[in-house]
Amino acid sequence: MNTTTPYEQLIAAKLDQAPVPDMADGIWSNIEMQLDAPADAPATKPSPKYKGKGWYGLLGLTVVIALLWWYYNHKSHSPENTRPPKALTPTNQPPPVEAPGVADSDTSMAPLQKKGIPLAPVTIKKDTISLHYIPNDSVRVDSAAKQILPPPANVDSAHLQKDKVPLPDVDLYQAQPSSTLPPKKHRGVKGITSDDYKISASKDSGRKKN
Amino acid sequence: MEQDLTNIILDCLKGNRKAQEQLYRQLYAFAMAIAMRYAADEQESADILGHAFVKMFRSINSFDQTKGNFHGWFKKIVINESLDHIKRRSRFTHLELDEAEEPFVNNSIIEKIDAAGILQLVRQLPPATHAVFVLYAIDGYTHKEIAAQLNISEGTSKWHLSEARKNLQQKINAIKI
Repeated sequence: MNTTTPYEQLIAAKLDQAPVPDMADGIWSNIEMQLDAPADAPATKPSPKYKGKGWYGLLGLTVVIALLWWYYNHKSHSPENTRPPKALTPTNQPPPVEAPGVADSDTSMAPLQKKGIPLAPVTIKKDTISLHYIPNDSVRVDSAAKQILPPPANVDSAHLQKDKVPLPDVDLYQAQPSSTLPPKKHRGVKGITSDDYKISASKDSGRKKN
Repeated sequence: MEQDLTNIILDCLKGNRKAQEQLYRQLYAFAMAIAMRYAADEQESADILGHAFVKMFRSINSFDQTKGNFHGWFKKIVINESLDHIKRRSRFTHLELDEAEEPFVNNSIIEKIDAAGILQLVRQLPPATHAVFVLYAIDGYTHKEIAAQLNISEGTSKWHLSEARKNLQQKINAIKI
């Protein structure tokens, strides 16, 4: 319940008599401006809504881009992708023997390129078929190739064809550790050793002429 | 006069600008007197009035004659706009008070002070206390209504009223005429 004191009633009565400032024209022009504003309002009002949705859209796009980037980045660095492709190793059939002078790498590359396999796995496959000693571990592949095979691939393929040695199964070699590999084969022509190719000072042709 | 006001309101419903100006001129002194009680100065009262009239013209179709007269409806709009202005520039401290002694004020002193002087005294109150005092003592609101309007408790409203009375008592008693 409202209970005002006598002096408050006096104050209220006095305030009702307070003179009003003459600002009617100025205030009316301001009111007119505000009343005219609704005609322009629809053009300006939707923009904040759109702006808010735009922010959401931008945020969503950023999230999608980040997820895609993470997915492809993660995929390329995953352990499955760093290993040699599984399709390359389980070849039970011996690879076709090429004609002399043709590199093994050329024949192994051709079907892979047709399948559209990326470049990085193709190089791994090339090494696998030509050297036949590549286990899953890439470090061991390099060391085995240096120890067992001659440096040029052409010589090796020709030698294999000449001796009619069937190409060993890749899986067999993958199953064996590097320590159980077969003993090193003789290279070159029998009866000629590396000492025969040494150049000594006594055999200098320039000295004989003198 | 009442019939004229009804016709003007009907024209305002159609968006007639002339009728709107006519209604504004008729209600200017009435609305300005209300706004001046709550505002800190003339400029703020002009701002309150401008916003209150715009709101009134935009929502005039919601005015229901069966629920009350037009002046009462418009007065609420002006008071609400005034309180919005006060809320923007001040905080309402939440101090509770159940009962307070009524201060003694010499009425003869108030009678001798003119309206502008009284308005000046009221405006010297802190904003929240000022608002509660005008709502309660001048516009006849109850503490419950004030609490609902200002989002404060009834105890806080009572505390502000008590503070206003004490403050005014000191100021009025200090005046030596």
